[in-house]
Amino acid sequence: MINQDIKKGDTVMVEYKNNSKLLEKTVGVVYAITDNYILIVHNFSGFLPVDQTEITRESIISLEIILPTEINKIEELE
Amino acid sequence: MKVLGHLTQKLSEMAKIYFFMENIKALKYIDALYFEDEQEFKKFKTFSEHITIGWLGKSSKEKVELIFNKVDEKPKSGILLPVGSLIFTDAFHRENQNIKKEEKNFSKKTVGVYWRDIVFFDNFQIPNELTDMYTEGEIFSDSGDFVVIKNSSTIKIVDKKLKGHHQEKEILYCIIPKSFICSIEYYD
Repeated sequence: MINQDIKKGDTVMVEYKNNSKLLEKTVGVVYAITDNYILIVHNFSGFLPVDQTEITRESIISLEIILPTEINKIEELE
Repeated sequence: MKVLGHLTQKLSEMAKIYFFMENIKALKYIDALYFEDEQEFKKFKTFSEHITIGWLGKSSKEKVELIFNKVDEKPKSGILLPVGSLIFTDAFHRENQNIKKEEKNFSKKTVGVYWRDIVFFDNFQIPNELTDMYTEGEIFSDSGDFVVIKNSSTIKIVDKKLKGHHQEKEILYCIIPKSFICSIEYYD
């Protein structure tokens, strides 16, 4: 269930029940939204999605729009 | 109204702290490139910028782990990147326009390049190391930050054994960022 308005391009963190009914979390950019699914992309080559997770709306437990930190220096990885 | 504004600000600060604690990062990086067509290679101007988002996992001076999915807080899928693949500055985009593409620079010397590649992982199979790769071919250009190898073939080294790679067949041009390279052997 999604309580928050989301649109394509939002970066989100989603908690949902996966096919094995286990609690799964994912982060990425909302690439597509349909009545049943949202598609979260974790990796882009240019503008093309490379790695993604498709989540059914009914499996969603929580969804938050987030602002990930961009790393600009090697020291920020430590 | 003032109270509401104050509350919104507080919530926004709390959200920032929460996501900081979650350690969610966005990284920009480059990857090796393969060209099978001469014209495509000539048209090529700059490396594509890849963008990836995830939880920062283990990182060292050599590699960075970014996690895309977690099940019960255990990392399930993600990417392992060489630190040398990361883009930190705009200077990268200016400098990587200088890849020499003139046939006159082509020395035709045969080389073997050992390098370490990006790894995507899934199903909780988190690699400890980057993938070791070996590319052999004729050196076309090694100026700037990239090595261009013509008539190249690339194989993956797993447990010190050579294994097939999707680029195992001969590829017209392979461009490897020097920051990925461990060593180069000159055969001629």
